[in-house]
Amino acid sequence: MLSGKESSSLQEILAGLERLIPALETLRPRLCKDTLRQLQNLSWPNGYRDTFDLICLQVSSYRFEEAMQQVKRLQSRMREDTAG
Amino acid sequence: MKELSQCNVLIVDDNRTNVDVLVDALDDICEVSVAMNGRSALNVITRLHPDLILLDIMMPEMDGYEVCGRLKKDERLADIPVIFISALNETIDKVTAFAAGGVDYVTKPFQIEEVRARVVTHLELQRRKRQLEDNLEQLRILEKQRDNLVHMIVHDMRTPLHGISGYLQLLGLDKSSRLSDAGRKYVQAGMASVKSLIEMVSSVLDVSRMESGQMQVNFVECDLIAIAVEVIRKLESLANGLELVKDLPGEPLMIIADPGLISRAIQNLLGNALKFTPRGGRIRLEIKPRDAGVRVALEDTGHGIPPEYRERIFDKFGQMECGQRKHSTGLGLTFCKLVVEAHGGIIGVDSEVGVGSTFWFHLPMRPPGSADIQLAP
Repeated sequence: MLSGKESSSLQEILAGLERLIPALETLRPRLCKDTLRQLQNLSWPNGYRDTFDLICLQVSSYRFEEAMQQVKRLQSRMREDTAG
Repeated sequence: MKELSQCNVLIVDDNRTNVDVLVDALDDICEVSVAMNGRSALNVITRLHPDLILLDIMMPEMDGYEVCGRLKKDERLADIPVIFISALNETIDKVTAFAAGGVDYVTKPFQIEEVRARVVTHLELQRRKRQLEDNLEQLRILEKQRDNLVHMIVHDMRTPLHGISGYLQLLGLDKSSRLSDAGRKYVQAGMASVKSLIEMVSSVLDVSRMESGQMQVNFVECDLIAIAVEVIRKLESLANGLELVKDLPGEPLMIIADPGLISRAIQNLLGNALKFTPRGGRIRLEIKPRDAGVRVALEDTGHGIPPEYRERIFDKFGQMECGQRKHSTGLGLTFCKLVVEAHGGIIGVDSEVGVGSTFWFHLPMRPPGSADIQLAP
């Protein structure tokens, strides 16, 4: 179970990930990097950081489709954890 | 019009270092998207509809030529300009790239400033092309609105015109009226003007119906010579002081056509020739079989049409003027063109200023869509 503060941060991260999706769909590196930079500045709960780093790596090597799959997985996990 | 910074350039290249350089080079000019292979590029192009594509040639699975070829086959995407960017620098590679539909070719290693300059140039061209297309679409909409308005007004004019015509006729026929001789002359002049107005109104409505496909074209087997002779018979009384020459075959010339429409087309052409040929001039109507069809030509010794007007003379509402003299009042020639085209034919004019004009049209013996009508052997 997440604490109230962590849960609130998780909502912010989810919102940021949602903003990342159109940038990934249109394969725009600049837009992706700007959004990732904002996400980087958020406080990430343990257990999600590795996936986020992987997304950053995929975006920097223009592997947008793979990054999109990771984002979708991360969103599902976070939503499940928030609900649970 | 979209600003340059709002334009989107899609870079398609499997080499990350190249992509890094290109993204850095273009990022401050426009929005940049990146696809690392042909399949991914084709997927995103449909959604993104970029303004320009920078396309590498040598890529695994699907090379740049194939990506470009597929793009050009899709009419929704075919207008997106493609700049090939490749290490291949033989002339044949460049020729192949242009044949595949590319608009430009940059060889690797490239100079950043050159790539930027080419991208800006092609984005500008694309922006202006789209602006022109938008303007054209707007003009088409406005033209349609104008036509609808004209059609509506003209249609509504018919009833009052027929009313005026009827009352003038009654006035002229009324023996008990106390009209003076001058009054009767005025009534006759009024009736002639109303008749002319009704003819104009009918022309506008006919052209409108022909253009919208609402006028039915009734193809039947008919004798073109008999049609022409009948038209001449109707109009020859107007050939006052003019020599009217008929150069027609001595036997019937059977074609598949709408006799009513063809008759009106010849009538319009002959009427124009009679109207615009000065006294003492000559008008010659020639009909001859030619090129698996038939050619109808009306030659006159009128003033001739200046070259700058010839292109527009069949246009709707195209009023041609040469000095003080009007060569067309608007719709007669447009009607002829629509009739001839409805028969799968072509119409044209040859003219020399000061010598005269020949209006001609060529009709196929059998217009498209008339296969079930048999010509007598």
